[in-house]
Amino acid sequence: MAAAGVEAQDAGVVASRARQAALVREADRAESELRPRDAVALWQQALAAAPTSRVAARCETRIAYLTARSEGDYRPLADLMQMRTLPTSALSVAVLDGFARRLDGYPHGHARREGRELVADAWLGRLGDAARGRRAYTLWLAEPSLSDTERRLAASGLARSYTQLGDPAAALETMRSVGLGASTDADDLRTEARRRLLRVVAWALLAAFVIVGVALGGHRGFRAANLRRSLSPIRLAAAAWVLGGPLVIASMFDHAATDTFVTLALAGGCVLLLAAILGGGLVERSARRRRLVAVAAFVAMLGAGFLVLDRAGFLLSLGL
Amino acid sequence: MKSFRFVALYVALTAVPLAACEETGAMVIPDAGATPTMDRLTYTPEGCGYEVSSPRVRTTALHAATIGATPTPDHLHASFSGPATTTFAVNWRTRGIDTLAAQVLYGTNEAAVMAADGPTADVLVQSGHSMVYDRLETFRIHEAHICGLAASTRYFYKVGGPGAWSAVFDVSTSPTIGTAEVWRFGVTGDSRNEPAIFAETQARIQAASVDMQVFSGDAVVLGPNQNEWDAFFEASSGGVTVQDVLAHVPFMIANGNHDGLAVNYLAQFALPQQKSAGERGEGEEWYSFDYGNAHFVVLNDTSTLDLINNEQRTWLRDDLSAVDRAVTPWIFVVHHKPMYTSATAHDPDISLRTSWQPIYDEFNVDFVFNGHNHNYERSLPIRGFASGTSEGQVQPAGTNGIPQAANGTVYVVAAGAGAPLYGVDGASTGYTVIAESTRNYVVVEIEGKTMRYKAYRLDGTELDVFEYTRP
Repeated sequence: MAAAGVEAQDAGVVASRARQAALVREADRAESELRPRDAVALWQQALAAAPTSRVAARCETRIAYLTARSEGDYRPLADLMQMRTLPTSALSVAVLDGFARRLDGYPHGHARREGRELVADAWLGRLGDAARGRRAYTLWLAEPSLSDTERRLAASGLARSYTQLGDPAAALETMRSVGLGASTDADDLRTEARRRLLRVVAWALLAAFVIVGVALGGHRGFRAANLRRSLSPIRLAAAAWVLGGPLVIASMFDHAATDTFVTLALAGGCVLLLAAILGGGLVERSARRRRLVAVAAFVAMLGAGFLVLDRAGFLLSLGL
Repeated sequence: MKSFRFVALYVALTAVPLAACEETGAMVIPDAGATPTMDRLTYTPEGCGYEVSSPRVRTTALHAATIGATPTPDHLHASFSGPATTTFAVNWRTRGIDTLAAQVLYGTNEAAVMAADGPTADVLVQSGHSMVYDRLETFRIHEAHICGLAASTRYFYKVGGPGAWSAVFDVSTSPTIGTAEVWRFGVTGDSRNEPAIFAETQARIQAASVDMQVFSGDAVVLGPNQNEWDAFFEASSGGVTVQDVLAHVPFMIANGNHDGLAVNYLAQFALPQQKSAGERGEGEEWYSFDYGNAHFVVLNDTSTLDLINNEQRTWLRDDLSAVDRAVTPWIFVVHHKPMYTSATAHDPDISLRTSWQPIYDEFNVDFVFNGHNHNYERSLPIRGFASGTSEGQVQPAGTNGIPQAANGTVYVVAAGAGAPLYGVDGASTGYTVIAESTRNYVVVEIEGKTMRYKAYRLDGTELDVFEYTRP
C-alpha cells in the first residue's frame, strides 16, 4: 500500500514536471513571438505545475523580469524585445530613428530606459555615429529613475561619444557632472589622455638622449679604439645580468609575458649600448659631460621601458 | 665600485615590487620575531563521499558554535565541488575572525528554511569549515558542502549559525546526467576592475534564467588584493546584487593570469578537487564536472609551461578518455587564454595550441570558451593543423559558420564582463565567423543534442545567434 502510494506520488511528480516543461516551451514561444503578457500567464502556470522543481526558479525569474517591464501594457517591452533581436545588417538609420521616436511616446519605466540604452549604444557602437550617439546618450541620461549602473553606463557612453568627437575635456566633465569624476571610467579617460602625453614625452626623452650625447662630443665613441674600450666583456656581462634577469624570471612563471620582456631587454640594451659608446667618446672630456650623458641615458631607459610596456598593454593593469 | 653600484641599483629596483606584493598579501613575510602560521585542513563533509582540502592559510577551523561580534554572512556564492546532481557547495564571509559557525540549513520548503534556527523535520543541517588568510585578520571565509541531494531539485538554504543566519537563497541541482531535459548555462569572463559592469552582466544572466555559469578567468586585476575581491562580490546593478545571482547560480571559475591562483582565489571558491599529479591549489587548479548531458573541463593555462605540457596535458587526455558520449555527448572546455583570436591586444597562444589542441581534436571537443582578450569572437570549426604548421585547419561549416556533424571545435572568446575592451580584426584570420569589440555574455541552452546559442551585448541586443544539433 505504502509502495503504491509512493509510486503514485512519483508518477504525479513526473506528470507535473512534464506539464511544466510543456508550459515552459509555450512561454518561451510567447516571448519569441513578442507576446510578453501571454508569456507571463504561461510562466505562472508553469510555476504552479511544479513549484519545487529546478525549473520553478526560472519561472519566477521570468515573471519578475517581465512584470517589472509591464508599463504601457507591455507594448514598449514587446517593441524592445523585437529591436534586441535585430541583426546589425537590419539596423538601418530609419529603423533606429523609428524606434527612438516610438520611445518618446512610451511611458517612463524599465523598458523605455533600456530602449534608450539600445539606441545610444547602436548609434555609437554598431553604426559608428558619435554625434547621434551623443544625442541619444543625453536622452538616456535624462530619463527619470535611472539606477546607478544605468547612469554610469549612459555617462560613460556620452563621454566616449565626446572623446570620439575630439572633445576629451567635455568627456571628463560629463563624468564629473553625474558624480562619476572619481569613477573607473573617468580614470580611464584621464589615463588615456595621460598616456598620450607620456608617449610623446618618452619619444622626446629618447631623442634628447641622442642629441645631448652627440652635441657633447660623444659621437667620437664610434671610433674603433673607443668602441673596444666601451664594450668590454665585463660591461656586456653586467648589462646581460641587469636586462636578462627579469626575462629569465618571466619565462619561468609567465611565458606569455616573455615576448614583452624580450622587447624590454632589447630596448634597454640599445640604450645602454648607445650610452656606453657615447660615454666612451667622452673619456677625454670632462666628467661633467659624462655625467650629463649618463643622466640622459637613465631617463631614456625609462622612456624606452614605458613605450614597450604601453605597447604590450601592461600599463592597463597598473593604472598608468 | 661601478659594478657594485649597478648591482645595488638592480637590487633596489626589485625590492620595490616585492614590497608591493607584500602589502597586497601576495607573500607572507613574518613580522620581526614572529613566524607565519601556515595551516591546512582536510576532511570529508558528512554524507559527501569526497574529501575537501583548504589551501594553506593562516588558520583553519571546522565548524564550531561560536558566534562573534559581526556574524552576518555576506559574499555568498554557490558552486559544485562534488557531483552536480547530488551536491552543491557554498562560500561566504564574516567580518572579524571570531565567528567560527560554518553551517548551512537547507530543504525544499522555503518557509520552513526561513523559520528554522536549527535542523527540523523539513530542514537539514550541514557543517563546514572556515579559513583566515588575510594577514591583517579582518575577515573569515566559510565553506560548506551539501550532499545527498536529489537531482533536478530546487533547494532553499541559508548559512551562518544559530541566531546569525543569512537571508534565504535557492540553488538547484543538475538534471540527471545524460538527461534530455532542457537546461542552460551562461558564459562570462574578465570582469577585472569593473565590478559594476560585472554586476550588470550577472543581472542579465539571471534574467536569462541560466542553471549554472562558467567564468573564463580574470575576475580581478590583482589576485592577492582582497579589496578587489570584496568589490567583485559586493557589486550591484539596478537592485540586483552579485550575491543575489551567485548564491543562486553555481559559478564555476577558471584561473586567469590576473587571478594568479592566489590564496584569495583558492579559498573563496569551492571547486572540484581531483588532485592530479603535479597539480597545485589543492586540486582546484584544473578540474572537470558533468552537468546535464555535458562534460565540462576547466583548465589553467596560466600554469607553468612544464605543467601545461606534461601533467595537465596528461590529465586532460585521461579525463576526456573517460567520457561516455552516449551519456554526455557535449564536451565544453573553459580556460583563460585563447588559441584562436583576432584581438589586437593578445596574440593567439600558439604554445597552448600545439599542446592541447591535438587532444581537443582527438576527443572531438565541441566548444572551447576563453577570455583574456576583452571582446567577443567565434571561430569556424577547426580540427587539425595545416601541413607542417601550427595553423588550425578550418573545417567545412554550415550556415552561420556552425560545425557540420561535429567536424571541428568551435573556439569562442567571451570576455566582456567589465575589463577594458580590446580591438578586433576578424577579417585578418581566415577562421573568424564574428568578432566585435563589445561587452558581452553568452547563454547556451541544451536540449538533448541540440544547442541554442545566444551571445548578447551588454544592452541585451543579440550579438551572435545559432542553433546546432550534433550527431
